[in-house]
Amino acid sequence: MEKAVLFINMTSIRTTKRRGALVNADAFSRSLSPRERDGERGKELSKLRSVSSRSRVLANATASFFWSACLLTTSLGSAQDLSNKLPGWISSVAFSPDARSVASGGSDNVARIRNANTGEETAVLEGHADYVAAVAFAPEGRSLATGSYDHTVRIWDLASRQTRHVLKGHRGVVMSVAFSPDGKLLATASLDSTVKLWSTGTGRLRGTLRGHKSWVNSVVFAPNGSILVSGSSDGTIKLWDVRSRRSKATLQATDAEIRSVAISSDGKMIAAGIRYGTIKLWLNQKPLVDFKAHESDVWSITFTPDGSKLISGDGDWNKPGKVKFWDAHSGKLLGSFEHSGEVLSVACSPEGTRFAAGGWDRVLKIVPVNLRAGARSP
Amino acid sequence: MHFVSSIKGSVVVALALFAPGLPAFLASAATPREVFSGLRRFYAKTSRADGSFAPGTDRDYRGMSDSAYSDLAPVTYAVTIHQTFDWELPHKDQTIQFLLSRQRDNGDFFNQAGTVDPKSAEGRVYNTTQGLVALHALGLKPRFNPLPVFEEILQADYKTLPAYSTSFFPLAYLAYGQPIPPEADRRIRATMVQAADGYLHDHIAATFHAVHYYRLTNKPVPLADQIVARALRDQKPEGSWLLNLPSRDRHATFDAVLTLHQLGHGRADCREAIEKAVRWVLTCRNFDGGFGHFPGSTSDADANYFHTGVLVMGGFLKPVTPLPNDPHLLSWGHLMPLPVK
Repeated sequence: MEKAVLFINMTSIRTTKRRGALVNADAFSRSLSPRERDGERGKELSKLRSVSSRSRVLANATASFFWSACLLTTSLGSAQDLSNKLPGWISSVAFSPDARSVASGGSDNVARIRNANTGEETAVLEGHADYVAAVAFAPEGRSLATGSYDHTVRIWDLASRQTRHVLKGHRGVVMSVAFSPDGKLLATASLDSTVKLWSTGTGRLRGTLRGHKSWVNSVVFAPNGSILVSGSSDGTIKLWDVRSRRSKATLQATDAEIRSVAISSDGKMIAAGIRYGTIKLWLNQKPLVDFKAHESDVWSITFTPDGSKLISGDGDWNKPGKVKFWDAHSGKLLGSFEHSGEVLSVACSPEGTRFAAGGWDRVLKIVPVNLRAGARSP
Repeated sequence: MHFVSSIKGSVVVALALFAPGLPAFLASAATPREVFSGLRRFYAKTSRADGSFAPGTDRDYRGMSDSAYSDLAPVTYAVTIHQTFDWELPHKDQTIQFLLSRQRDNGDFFNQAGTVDPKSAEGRVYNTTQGLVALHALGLKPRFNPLPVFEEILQADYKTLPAYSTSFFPLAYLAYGQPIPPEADRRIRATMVQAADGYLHDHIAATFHAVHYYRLTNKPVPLADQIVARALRDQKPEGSWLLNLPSRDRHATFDAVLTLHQLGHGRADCREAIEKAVRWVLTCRNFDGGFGHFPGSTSDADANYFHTGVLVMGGFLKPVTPLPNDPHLLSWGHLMPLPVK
């Protein structure tokens, strides 16, 4: 049956606490009532819902409270008494290119945009008929792409807060989305074992990249836009030539499933977050180092903008996860941060001074980072 | 109705044959005959001369969930499916020899391929249970007494096993012809702590294994009504129980369906939920005849068992009549008799 997910010994679930210089705001986050079914899940609303004044007040209050603790923590779950539209677990987080906003997607079928400084929720993008598994800002910052369990991808215009395109073609859950550096293409990865390329201007399918033998869980463009990198449950990473749509190289990573891939800003290093806690790095497509980085699955991995550090997030069922910082060349651990729930997604801010993490406990955290010292409370 | 579906299915297959660019999945509903035919095609493609089975039709496919975990899993699931429908295994004698050869004289069954460490407690429990289930389904005993494996793990290591391991113990004992000993029963049951909604660890997988455990040991399932209520509440509109990351819920729909099947006592709402699950499972079927874990996913030996199990419990696929010997011991309970209320 399912492996490495559930553990008998509930006493091993740790309570949150201060750990070294790291501040953890877990004590502030509340556990929610069990998930409630969303009676409006099936509706194709395709519109942005204005945030109710009450939720805004709560968001502001929550944000200022945690900001006073020098750690911005926004509890997405604190609004459980507002309606039956409870925010769900967070599957994906992303910073806007100007670092002012953070987007998140999750099991409440919507994408949420928040002010990255205050925590105020500024937009709720509704339209997907199922969970939102992936979010990504366009390089110009005016569009957001979302991938969903409903097998579709949406490109949202953030000014009008409307869906610009609904991209249909995948036959399975869309796990990852990534804009090309020039913003003209969107890559999408799915459980249907394919990566698709779409024109962001027209919404038309530009190509389907076949070759993976199993789920494609993560996709990212190289900085020059000519190469696309995908990571799969088949244990491989594929490098695709964007122009020809053909596979240029396959990196055999592991026997286990690859959960997440990242590429450094100079395009030379590739990192993979792997099931059972391994991180593997390649330099110029040659294996550089692999190491047991986490106790459980590495759901998310990203480079800092200067490419010198890695940030990874892990999680095991019903247990607090960790965000860890690594020297990208040596694999040396530089610091870690304990999250209140398992960490399903991490993102580094464009200026490299903060990271966002979200996961199962429905709490989105934005943590200032001193990259020399790891995560810290300022 | 079946005639129309059959025509639709044929058209889709024909389109697939002449249009290689089409996706390798079947979106339309299939007839039971088409599902049977597809499954047999899948097993014909994945059977190996040594009696084992590959996890998928592509030589480079490494499997998913159980089929990636241990190379015993595709064999046990193939045996289970073949016994369920009284099909002849492609290489039955070799399959028996393969299974017997995967046991050490200390009782351990072991995997040679797959992600689990065969020496770990988790690997030993998993492999030995799977080996016993397959041999029992074929009417055979293992070469060596396997019970010392479980007795050893029940000393201490059982506390570290994943929560979905609970029903492995009574299943293994029963497949070897003995009920689980009272002290072992007490220890495992002590790990099955239920929340107010009846669930274990807030997940259907651990909950299912508790239900399976109590049914195997012929005891009432505590908080059964609460479990049913949550399972019904949790079903998604399209019929699945994909509530978490896909990798967490690869068996969730089977787990929920068995739970509703066993605890629902034929209630209309449970029947409707199972019928909805059946429709969803059919969307996971591929042109190669197998099932993927989710729509669009690669056909997989593990998914084949769990989705076929749903189709059997939902009444879409009819098992052989009369049922095979000890139907309740065929893998994870898809043929388990229903409890008397």
